[in-house]
Amino acid sequence: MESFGSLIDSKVTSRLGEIKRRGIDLGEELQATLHARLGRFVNSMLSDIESHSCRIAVIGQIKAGKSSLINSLIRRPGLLPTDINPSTAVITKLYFGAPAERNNTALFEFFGEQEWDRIMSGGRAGALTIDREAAVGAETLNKALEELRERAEVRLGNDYKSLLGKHHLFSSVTSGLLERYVSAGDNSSSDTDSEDENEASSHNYSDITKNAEIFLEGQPLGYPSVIIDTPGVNDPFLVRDEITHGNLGDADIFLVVLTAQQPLSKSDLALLRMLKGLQKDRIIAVVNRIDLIDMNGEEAEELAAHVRNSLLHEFPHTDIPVILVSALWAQTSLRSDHEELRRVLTSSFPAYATKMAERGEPGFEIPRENWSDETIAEVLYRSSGIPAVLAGISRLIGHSVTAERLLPLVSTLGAISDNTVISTCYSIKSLNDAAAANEHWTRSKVSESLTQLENLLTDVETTLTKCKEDFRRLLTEEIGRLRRFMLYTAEQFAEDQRASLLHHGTYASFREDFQEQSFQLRSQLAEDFYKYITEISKQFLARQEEAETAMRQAVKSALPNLNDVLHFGIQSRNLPPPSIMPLSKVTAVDIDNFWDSKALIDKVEPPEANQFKEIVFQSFAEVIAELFDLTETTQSDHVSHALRRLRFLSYSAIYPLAQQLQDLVSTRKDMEDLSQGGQGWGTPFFWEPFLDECQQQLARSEKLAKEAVEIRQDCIRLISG
Amino acid sequence: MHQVNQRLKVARVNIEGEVLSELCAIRKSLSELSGGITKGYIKAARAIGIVEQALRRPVRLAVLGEENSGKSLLLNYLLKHQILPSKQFSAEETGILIRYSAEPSVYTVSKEGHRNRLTSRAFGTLSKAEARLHPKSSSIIYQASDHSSRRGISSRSGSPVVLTKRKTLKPPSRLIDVGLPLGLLRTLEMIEVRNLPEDKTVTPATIAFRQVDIAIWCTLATQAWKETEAISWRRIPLAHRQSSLLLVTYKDAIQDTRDEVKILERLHRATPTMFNDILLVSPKDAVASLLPDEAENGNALRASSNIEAVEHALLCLVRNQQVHRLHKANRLLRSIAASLARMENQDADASQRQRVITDKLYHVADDIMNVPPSASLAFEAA
Repeated sequence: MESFGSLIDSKVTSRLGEIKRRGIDLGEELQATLHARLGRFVNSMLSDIESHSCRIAVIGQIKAGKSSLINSLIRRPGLLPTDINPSTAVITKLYFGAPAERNNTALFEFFGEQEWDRIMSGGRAGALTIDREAAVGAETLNKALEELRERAEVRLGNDYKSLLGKHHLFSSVTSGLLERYVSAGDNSSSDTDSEDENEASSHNYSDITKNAEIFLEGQPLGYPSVIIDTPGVNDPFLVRDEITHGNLGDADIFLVVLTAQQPLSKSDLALLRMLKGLQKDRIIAVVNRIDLIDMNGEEAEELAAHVRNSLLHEFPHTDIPVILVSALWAQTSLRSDHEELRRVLTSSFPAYATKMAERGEPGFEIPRENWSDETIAEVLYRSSGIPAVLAGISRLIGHSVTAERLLPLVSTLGAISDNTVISTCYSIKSLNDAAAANEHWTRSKVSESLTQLENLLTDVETTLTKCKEDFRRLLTEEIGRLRRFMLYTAEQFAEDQRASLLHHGTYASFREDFQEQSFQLRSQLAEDFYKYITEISKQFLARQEEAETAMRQAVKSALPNLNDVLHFGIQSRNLPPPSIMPLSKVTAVDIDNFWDSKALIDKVEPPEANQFKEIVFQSFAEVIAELFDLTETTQSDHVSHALRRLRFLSYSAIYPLAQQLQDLVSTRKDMEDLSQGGQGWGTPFFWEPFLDECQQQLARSEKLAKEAVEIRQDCIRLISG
Repeated sequence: MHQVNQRLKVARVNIEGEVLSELCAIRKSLSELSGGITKGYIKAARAIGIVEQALRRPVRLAVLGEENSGKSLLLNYLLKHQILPSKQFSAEETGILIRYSAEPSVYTVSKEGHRNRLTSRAFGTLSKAEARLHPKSSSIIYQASDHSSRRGISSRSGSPVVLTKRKTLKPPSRLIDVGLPLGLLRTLEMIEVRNLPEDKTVTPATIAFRQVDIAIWCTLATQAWKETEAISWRRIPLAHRQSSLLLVTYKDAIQDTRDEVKILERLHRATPTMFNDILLVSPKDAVASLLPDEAENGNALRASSNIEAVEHALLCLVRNQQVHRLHKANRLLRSIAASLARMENQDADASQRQRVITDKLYHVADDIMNVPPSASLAFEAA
């Protein structure tokens, strides 16, 4: 429980903020000095840096208190709707530190028509149940869907369908607004205490809302961040579950919210297993609702130890922080209501706080009767565990993927500065050499140089085309191999299960075994996938380095007098892996109905077992197919990103040269217009100022390059902590 | 009220006292009958024996639910003793069967069905049931000798017992069979099961489960009715799905009564026709109301815990079950009597006695219909 009471590690986040700010300044200055085409590239880097933020996904079972936790973290009790019944129905993204003009706006995106139809057909679970006729009936699901449709009609009118595919934008954010768009709301007709509530529930859009983006002022985590609230998993309404699984995507940090009453239940573990194989240091386990279990200090320690041990078992060699939290206490503290604060003093809080204080846990104090409301509120907040969560997050922001994602961006800007320096040096050198040799720069000589540069650009493009093919081949081959391997694993599994089913003789006795095994298979597939994809990433990065060398050589052979090789900056050590969420999707063999329909078979004969094998294989093959669809998209993003980077970094050395030559030509042209003579190319009266300009450019670029090195070093220091 | 209870209690005892002894007598005289159709008599006697057994068997209540959903507290309340430890996070897969026995006894039943009586090492002494409701120790505590207990339990059997850690009883033991000299257990025996195996493998827990008449599923008010619970509930083999209650525990964690309404509404929607009734309850407060140091606000705790509604609902289910049994016994005895009447014995004397027995059997069958079911779940003396 070392994390208790430690205060927000604001140093880390403010350092990262500083790095980001300097990166933006650097990019802006750089942009001003560069050729327009390079400027556009720098511009895109800039907007990447500007929008760089920490993405935190808050996940867990239904009713674990995810929304309450977020409300406490951002110190806005009551912002996200919470209710005694499962409330959050929509993935809700809270943006902090976005550009000021977006603050206090809310954007709600509705499902598209196709998505809605898909949901109405029961999503994936429904499709499986209906297509395969594996099930005797899908009444439960159908009923839930029917209710959903009816509710949408009641709440939004018959023409609710006209809203599909559209969005609503608001220029203020209130909890009432969120209530209408992201809260599941009451679908009962009976409890309408007031007209208002009736009104609210009849305009509830949550059923058709796909995505909510809320932009808020302030930076509760000390750094721009996106906090993603998700509907809980383990919801009897499978569709909602699926929405969450499909959207967890690529957050930097996962806050896994457990409930103290049932910490790390089976479904918590299932969720955690899906995060397995991620780089470590990305998960924080939050045990919420400690206010609900009358605990003394010893039991708190026991609880934390229990969770920690189970996590260690699940994630060997990692040290996932486990933090005991009461979002209720934090919210009570933040609301500062006299009655509520007093009530806390008669709850389980004093006993807990006393024990913790006696154990010497920092931040805890023994509650006293004569405390003022302010004191209670303050101690309550400190004891709620929320500060520890904030500290945990800010630590991870500094040391994990968030900072790692910023490094290549800053480093690329630095490389551009470096390359500008190199090419400017080259220009100056050429000019000086020419002057020393008393060489007259004739028009033909300049155009010869320009042609040479054009040829170099063609060379670069040729090399890039080669790289592109190379990358694609690598990825297609390796990923194809991985895919075949995973399909093979699935087939072996299906075969094993076929044999096992025959051995058991009935589905009923086989069921438990199978479910345990298929659980393990998913885990295995996830681990294999991560292992190989990391390997492939490494190879891909190695190929990129080879490509960099090829680029350097191309430039060097075209411009032998360059005093330095091209710079490409530091790349991230590993590429962000694609999401493996498809692996957690529900398949035909996970559905109760499938097993119920088979339960009556007394003795499984070989044909039946073969059929079962086929269903098992097909189920997993589908999951794998979906996984690789996602992977292909991610990988082709990586390829185009890599090519873009190689191209523009090469250009960043070549463009300034071409620019200078063209400047030279146009200046000379102006001269010609003036003097009508046109033979004195080497004459110093425009040569000198031109050289001066080059020197200035050099000085500017050198300054930027130096600044870039400093920023980069800061960033590296921060990451290696 | 007390008088009514007394009267009904007496009536209830009549099942054992009169009906059962009459049945026993009939069985005896049947076996003494002789003649050409002895085989038929034996068959009839055996059938009567089965009816007797069925009537003697207490109603069996299963308390189910996910971890930490208040099952143990509920059982402790019903038994008015701290029998089971309520552990916040135990990975327990063992079932616990609690039934009547004249002397306290604890057996572990292994997966293969071997019974192993726990030796005295497993028992200790404990003076009072004032043990904490969420004991730090993971002991099963049973206190059987305290005459001054608030609810007036008295037991002649002496030694109080403390059962050692449940943890140490982990697999291979899959069922713990606890025998206690508590009167209630003669009417209603209980089994607490978590994680009933999903398949059809036969374990001591599943065998014990076969005789379940009534089921209670405990769900946490703060988390009520998750997909995993719905799945488990659907999988549980139950003879009478309507003889079941959904208890929404941790009522004490809900501040607002409007929230209570909301929860109940949602659960009614989510579990249509799955349960006989859905009730909010705080087993914690219910147990606390029994403790001596809560004597002052015991009644208030009891009222706010809503445990009375649960007791009432449970009693109704028990009574239904008993009436159901009596009806069944009546039907069976009548059909046995009918088949006896059809038998023709050549021996005139025996034939005469057979007719008397048959009449008696019809009579008892009718008597049975007059036996009232239990009037309360209050304790009956051992």
